[in-house]
Amino acid sequence: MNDRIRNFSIIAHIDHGKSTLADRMLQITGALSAREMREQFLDKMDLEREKGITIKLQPVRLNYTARDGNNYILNLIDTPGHVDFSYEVSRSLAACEGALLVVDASQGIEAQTLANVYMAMDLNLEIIGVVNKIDLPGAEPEIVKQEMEDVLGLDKLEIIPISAKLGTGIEDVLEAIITKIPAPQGDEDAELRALIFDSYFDAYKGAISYIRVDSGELRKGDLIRMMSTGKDFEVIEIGVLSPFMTTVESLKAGEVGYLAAAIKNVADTKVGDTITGAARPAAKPLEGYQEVKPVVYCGLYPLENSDFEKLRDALEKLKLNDSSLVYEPESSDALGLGFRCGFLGLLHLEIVRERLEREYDLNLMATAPSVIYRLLLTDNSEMYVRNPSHWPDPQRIDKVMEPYVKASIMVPNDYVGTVMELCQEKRGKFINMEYLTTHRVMISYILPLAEILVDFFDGLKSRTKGYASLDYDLRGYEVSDLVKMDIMLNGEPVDALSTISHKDKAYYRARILVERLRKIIPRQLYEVAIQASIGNRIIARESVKAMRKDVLAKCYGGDITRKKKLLEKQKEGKKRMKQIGRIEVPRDAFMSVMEIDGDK
Amino acid sequence: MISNSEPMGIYIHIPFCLHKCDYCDFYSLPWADKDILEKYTHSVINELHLRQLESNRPFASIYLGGGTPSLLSPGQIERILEAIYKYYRPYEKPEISMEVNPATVNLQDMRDLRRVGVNRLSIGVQSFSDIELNILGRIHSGHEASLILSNVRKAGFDNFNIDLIYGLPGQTIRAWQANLNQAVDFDPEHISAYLLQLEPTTPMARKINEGTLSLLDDELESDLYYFTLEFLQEKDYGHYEISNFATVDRQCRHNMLYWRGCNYLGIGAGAVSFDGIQRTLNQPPLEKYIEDLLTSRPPARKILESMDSRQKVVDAIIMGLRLTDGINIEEFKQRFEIDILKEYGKTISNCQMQGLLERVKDSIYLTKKAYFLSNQVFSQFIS
Repeated sequence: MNDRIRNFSIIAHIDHGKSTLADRMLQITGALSAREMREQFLDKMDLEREKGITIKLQPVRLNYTARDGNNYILNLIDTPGHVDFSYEVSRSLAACEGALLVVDASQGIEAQTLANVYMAMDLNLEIIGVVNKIDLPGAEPEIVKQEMEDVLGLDKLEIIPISAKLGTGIEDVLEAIITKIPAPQGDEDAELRALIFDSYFDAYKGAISYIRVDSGELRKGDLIRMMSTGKDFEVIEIGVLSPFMTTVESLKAGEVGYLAAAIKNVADTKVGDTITGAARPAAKPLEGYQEVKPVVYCGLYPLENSDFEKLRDALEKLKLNDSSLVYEPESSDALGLGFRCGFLGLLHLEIVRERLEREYDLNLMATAPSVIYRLLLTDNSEMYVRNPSHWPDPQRIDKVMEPYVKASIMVPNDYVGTVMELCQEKRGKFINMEYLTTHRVMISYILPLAEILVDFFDGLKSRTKGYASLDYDLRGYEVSDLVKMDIMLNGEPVDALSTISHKDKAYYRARILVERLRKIIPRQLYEVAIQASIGNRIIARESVKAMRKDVLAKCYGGDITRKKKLLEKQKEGKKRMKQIGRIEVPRDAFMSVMEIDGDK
Repeated sequence: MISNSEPMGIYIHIPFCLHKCDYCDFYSLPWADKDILEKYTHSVINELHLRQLESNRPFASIYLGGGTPSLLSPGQIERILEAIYKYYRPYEKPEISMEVNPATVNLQDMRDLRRVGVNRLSIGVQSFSDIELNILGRIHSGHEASLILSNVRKAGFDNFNIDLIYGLPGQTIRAWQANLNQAVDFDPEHISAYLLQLEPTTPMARKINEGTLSLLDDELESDLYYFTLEFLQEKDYGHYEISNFATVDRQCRHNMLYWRGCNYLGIGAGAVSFDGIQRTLNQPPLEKYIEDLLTSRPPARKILESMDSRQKVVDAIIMGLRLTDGINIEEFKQRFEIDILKEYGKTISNCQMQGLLERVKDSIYLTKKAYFLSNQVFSQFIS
């Protein structure tokens, strides 16, 4: 019954209303009662709801009775919109035959939208254009439709105007899904092949995998085989998300659902792997995903050294749900044992850190993020540095190379000047400028990745009143004049505070950094000298004066309880500090080294 | 083990003020008509009666605090004191202290207070400067305070305290010195000098948040504090607690009970009691308190803390270390059945290394430098 199934995902830029559209579809198809409904239903993580963004892809099954009178199963895979998470998008697209492209009627196409649409086109997905937020006063649906036709080659007459907020046009979208998106191909009688497109760890059921069955049939109790490892598991439970987990007896070709198979070892259920039947295995796996490579690294350390194993365990479990995360143990003189972790971007880093802290009850310190530097040494060998404290003696370095990206910035033409100015400040090299429409411009620059990481996006947004959008991809390494800058507290170097900086910017950064540390490090019983150095040369210094006052002037019978609470709070505060030598340093200090350029 | 006969203190809370000071967050009400004051007196006497069996310890001190206890008439104070003597037994000759606001008493009132048994006055002067008093939102002038102080002896008191506050916005060492000079000119037996510290809900804290007032920096506050120590020691006042100074044998006995971790009975709306295990609060509001007590129902009490022996020890340490003589290890061992050197050896030696704590023979005590940094010591003992 494949022809009554449609698998699709929604592509949109952040804030263009993707999650709201998903909410409406859940309501209209009756998947959720009014009582169960809440905004951004598919954004399950607190973090997603707080930030108002989607981080994880999330499948859901909808039952829809179409105008042709037939009942259809629609599998919607909601996806993230931020550039850091395009990997999640690519995986959900691979499990679909079509995609809704949602564009804000007042904002128009954004850089990230383009990137995702091209990804969908590459996968030969059917694309249905949707213009959202037509109810807003600034909405210009006709202009945006024209833009979608000009830039993306969609037929503007087929683009559906909707207001997800008000529920206008949602049925037209559902009908278009049925009439335009092809039903999944795939032979129910062939050997089983199912693609794992996501998984997570459940405390009770073990590893849960989201799968799309490509061919054959999967039944509860079946013995399945992971094609990458050859390991066999028994299927304990299968089901669909409608949107709550609902068990079913079987999943057939074309269907999307979840699978629990008592998989204890997280590494045994790899996203992108193909599941087949142990009894009748398929000859070849499905095309998986390209492994993504992290571009930013930072050290994550437990505040309590004894939490190291707990952190290892948490990373292992989180990796199951976030396959782009990589990590390896490392140690720091200042921070003890921890992990050097790789991320797809800074938002990804921030999300991972917050998830580790919330979902695994950890207190973490993050060191300054760093890109991967490529060093050619005088002995003709080559090394990659992910951790600034591993930077070799400058005497041994012949050439330093850093990763560059090609950044595409889409902006109304009024802001071209200010965007170019920003790119120049960030050591950018102009490539070209292209008018997409009469007033929308795509500017391309080659920029050092390290500069993009540090609040480039915030700078871009604030200088263009939020109109600019950014997409970038890696372009390889180029030679650059970089130095390592160390920070010393009372004469002792703190490895976790070392950073790599362009030589021309080192003095400026050093001054700001020591000043910032002076503000962050609380007064101690002794004066604390903060120095920044390149090699043996001190290039900036500040000091935190010794504490002079920490007293409760009055303490009598009636208020001891309250005064004690103050002291307890103080003690708690100390627990959030890291002791380095005799100095207590707030854990945020290590992150703060990255925020320097934002101070301007 | 603390013996059951170790004396306790009795605290009577009088939660009325003519005007609430801008830096104060104690429970008090900015009104006091005669009828309410009378009902309240009656309620306090009833509470003293109702709670008489709570403890069989003798009392070594009575402290009438507030609020503004001097809003009660000497006759009402007399009835309260009579009730205490009727329901509780004294230990030797108890110290009977009362706080007075300079704006609320005259010579005759003070004579009457002395006559009804009050033997120590604590006079809330705070400052002799009208500008500073205005900042604090006090209702009296420096002149009024001086007038009262010059009459204390005439009224028959041989023991009184002056409360002063330093660290006021704009204050210099010189201005503070002028206050200290005027205070010692009246030869009080006791001076309490408090750093201005604001609870966030007070009007003054709000002004500071809004930026219309600003506090001094830590350096100047510390300088003012250590200046006070030197100044008063030179005038033969012994520095015996972080913020308190007294001539020989004139330490406030009531407050000493607090700092030594002794029991106390707190009577009145908003008063706190400590029976050696629990610290309980007589719950405001006043109307409810009066309603209960006038119908002979015990006051509604809330347990603030219920302490195991460990917590009790921590309390005793952080209170005891506020005293400049510190803690006597032997005595502490007898009273709390714990050897602090053993239990807190690491903390103590850490504080010693930091130059905050000293140990001589049988005592541990704060170093001079540590007085104004004492939370750095106390927070290490809190577990």
